[in-house]
Amino acid sequence: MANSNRRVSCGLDFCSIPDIRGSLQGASEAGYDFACFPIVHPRFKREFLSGKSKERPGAFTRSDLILAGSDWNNLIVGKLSPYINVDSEDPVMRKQSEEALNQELAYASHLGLPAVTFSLRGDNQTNLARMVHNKMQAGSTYQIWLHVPMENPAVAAAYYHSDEEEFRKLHGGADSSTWEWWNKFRSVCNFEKKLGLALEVTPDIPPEEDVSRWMGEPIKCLVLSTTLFVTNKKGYPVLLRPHQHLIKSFATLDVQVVIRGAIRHGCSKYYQQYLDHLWQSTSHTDPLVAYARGYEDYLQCPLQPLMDNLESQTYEVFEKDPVKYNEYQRAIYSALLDRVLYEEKDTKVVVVMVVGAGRGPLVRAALNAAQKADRKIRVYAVEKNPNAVVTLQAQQEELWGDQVTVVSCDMRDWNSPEKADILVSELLGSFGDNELSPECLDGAQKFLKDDGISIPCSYTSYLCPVQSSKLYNEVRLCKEKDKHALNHFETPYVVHLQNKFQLAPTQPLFTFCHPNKDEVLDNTRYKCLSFNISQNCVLHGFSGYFDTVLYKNIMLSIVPETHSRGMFSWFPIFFPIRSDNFSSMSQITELVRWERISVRHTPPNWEKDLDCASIVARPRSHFVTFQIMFFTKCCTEL
Amino acid sequence: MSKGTHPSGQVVNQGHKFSLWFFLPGFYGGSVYNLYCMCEIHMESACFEVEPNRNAEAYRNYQPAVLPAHIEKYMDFIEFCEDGYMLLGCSNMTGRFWTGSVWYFLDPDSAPHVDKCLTGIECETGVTDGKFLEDKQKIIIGEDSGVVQVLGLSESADEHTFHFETLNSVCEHDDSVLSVSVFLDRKRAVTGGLDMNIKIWNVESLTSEHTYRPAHLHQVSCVCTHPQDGSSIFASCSLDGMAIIWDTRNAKPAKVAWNSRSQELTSVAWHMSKSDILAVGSNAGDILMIDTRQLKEPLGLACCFTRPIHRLRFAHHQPELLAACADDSKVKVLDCTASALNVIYEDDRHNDFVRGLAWNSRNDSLYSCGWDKQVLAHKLVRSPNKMEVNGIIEVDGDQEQK
Repeated sequence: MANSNRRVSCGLDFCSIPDIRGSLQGASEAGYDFACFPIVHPRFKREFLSGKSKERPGAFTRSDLILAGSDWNNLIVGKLSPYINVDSEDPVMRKQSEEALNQELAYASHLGLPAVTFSLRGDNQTNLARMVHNKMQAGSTYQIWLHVPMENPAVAAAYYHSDEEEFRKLHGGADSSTWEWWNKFRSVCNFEKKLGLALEVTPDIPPEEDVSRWMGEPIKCLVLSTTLFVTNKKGYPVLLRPHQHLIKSFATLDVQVVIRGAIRHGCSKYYQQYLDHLWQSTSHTDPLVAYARGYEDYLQCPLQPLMDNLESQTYEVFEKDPVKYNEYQRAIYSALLDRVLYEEKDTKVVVVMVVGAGRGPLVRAALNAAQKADRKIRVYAVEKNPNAVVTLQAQQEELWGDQVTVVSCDMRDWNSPEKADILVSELLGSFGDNELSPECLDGAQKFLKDDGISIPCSYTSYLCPVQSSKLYNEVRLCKEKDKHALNHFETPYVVHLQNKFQLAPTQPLFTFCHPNKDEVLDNTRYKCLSFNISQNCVLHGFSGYFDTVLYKNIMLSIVPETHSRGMFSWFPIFFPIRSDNFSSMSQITELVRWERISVRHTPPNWEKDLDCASIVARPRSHFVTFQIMFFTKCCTEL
Repeated sequence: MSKGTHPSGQVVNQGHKFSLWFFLPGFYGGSVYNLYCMCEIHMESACFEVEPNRNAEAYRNYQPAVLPAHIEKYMDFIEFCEDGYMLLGCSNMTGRFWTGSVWYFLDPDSAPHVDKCLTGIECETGVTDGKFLEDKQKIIIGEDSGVVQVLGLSESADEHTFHFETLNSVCEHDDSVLSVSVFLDRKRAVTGGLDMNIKIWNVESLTSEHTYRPAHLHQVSCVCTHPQDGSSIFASCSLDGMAIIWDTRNAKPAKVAWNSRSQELTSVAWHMSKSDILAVGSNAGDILMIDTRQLKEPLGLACCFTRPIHRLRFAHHQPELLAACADDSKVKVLDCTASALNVIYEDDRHNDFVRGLAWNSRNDSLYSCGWDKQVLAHKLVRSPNKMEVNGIIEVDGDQEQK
């Protein structure tokens, strides 16, 4: 079992800190990485408008000299005064709060604090959102950690009232969920990257779908009250199972943790130690997780191996996949046993053609399979990348011998001397056909025998709608200067999706089968998908997956429900939606018409025909605009 | 690290550096300030006997060293006991150390002079509110760290000097305690704070009998026990706009007395003689009189301040007098007999926010303290034909009292 080696980064929240240096030292000795405390004393109200108190002599808070600059920059998260209410209906209160907010934020900026935190208490905080947004736009140095409880406190407070229903109605009822408050606030802030969540885990955990909705949000830290902890037999603080499970699921998002409240178990370091223990024990038995460390939510452009020749390091990375090639080997093994009966094993030689052989791992798989099956084969390794052919030829000379023939040619253009029994290829992208596997294999099947088989024999792409403001922000940042302003929204990205929330189950989109026995070879597809979305959320895009049947029941898949264990060759693909105005969707059936257009044409100044495939998505909803995603473009051979 | 058990049942860590952890209850003892008092003292000698099994703790808590040299800048509350002795609490909110202190004065007019006090004690964090307990020698205070302490005044063995002793100290609130109130039976107390919780305490053992979490949806700005009911009814108000009446005997103790959508409520006080009348102050500077039997309409409304109300106190001797202060330098007294609340007294001598208000039952006068380091006395005069007068009343030789 791989140990995660991830340390939890914990902070300690102080409600009132009489001696900064002493408290920080104590927190650091207890294992905390940072501390949260008020910028100005939480009871120190100031007068900004008129009256004698406006001229109050003296400073409004402590001096910054108490700590070194680097301490302010790294160790402290500032808390704003709790009585500030810039959305108050009383104009005097409103103005005072605005001045106080400006004063405190300016001081936070002066100190160089890395983050400032305050609580969100309702969905009517538009003025606050506006002011905070202005500060961030003007280039604030601090991040904003918005403290939002997972469950509306009105739900817990209602228990004390004899008339619970009445009380709940007073406070928005069951519909007023804290996610709605957050969504409204961050929408006014236009999804600013610097705005993050400090999500408080409440004693009552909301239902599963509400919790998973938070998974798609930019959570910077989890806030845990010491009241959540119970005492185990030895007197140390531990969490109950449901909370443990909840927190572990957030651990994958790389969040920090803040402990707040009275220290109930003797010493604050026990909380930090317990959380560290939780983090370490977050199971990482799946090698995929270990491999993908660092790639979480990192956008990559999809590979275009047909257009570009892959590099040596790319091949090297792929060849490390422990699962993919083994499955291919198993598939070839089964196919050989099926094709050649035991009596014929010494006489019949099966012709196996590996098209798109790369640096030869599938050739190796074919040879292994033949040996295991005790059948004779003759292998052709076809590869268009002349650099990879060097490796193939070297291996053929030193290791494989005459059993393998290396062909340095595009499979669509090769005139083969003989026809193949088995055509093996691995031309699949994260969305199945997005590296133009159908077009390539259609071109290759001319040298497949009539009763020949293709491994893979079919593949299907899948889609599901996704909410992830983190990814949306990442895509926004991909804007390139010399391209169209919205070009970055019109490309798909390959990304190891972590911080996302799946809005509806995945549905299959397009399927391709090989060999393609149709009279007219047409890889154009058209399908309409409708997704039932059961709760309020924001649609940021679609995530795409695929699965493939190699042979009979041997499959590879990156669809989350059926993901091949330990296979990391493909991260999902993400199609962002370009939208200036996100609205929450709920109970909407999202209809999307997806088209795959496949053409072969000769553009001017090119000598060869080009294969182009583009996927066009036309969602029906009025607030999502038309977009085109253009896949692998063209061969560059001239 | 070894652990010892506090007599009240809490676990106390030993071996930690004193100045670092203000979370550890019962560990910090506070400092002592002895001074020979210049006034004649008529007090029974009140030397608290140390129970033998608490010997270790008494030693541990004894801290003869640090003297608070001065009264902190910002005075936050004053309280009187029946004998007219005064308690003063203050905090430092802007200096290097955000500490606080509590002071005891035999003569309220001598406050806030440090050399005239009976004794004082420094507290690790700022002191927000405090009340006298069963007699003039025990007080309960709430602090910025969430600590609730019971302090006892005891006479030193050698001289006729007094000092404060921490009898009990507990940190169960998750954030600052903002308001403390003691029930009529003097056995139980209520605290409410920034953590939105309300706790009911047994003051003898300082254990919490009830915890209402969360009692409100924003900080609990004020709690006030009912003046006639002995031990279970109190009111609370909060910046969430609600004033709630609680009866701790019920399983569902809370009942909303007033819900204001647009205004945050900052102070609440029960009428001293009419047990169903509640005064509520808002952040707009309005004072509402509410009849708890019918909660539809307020009985009266006075818009007497332009800033958030901070404290409301009804007078014992004249129950229709209501003293009010706000985030302002003015002190006002209202007459609540008629449904229209009239301001009958107004004073602007303070130079900064007025924070503490208390009626001294010895001489029926009102005292106020604020962030300008002043403690001021206000003597009210009623003219013979009961005309209500606005403005500062001259103190003259013979005072007519109703």
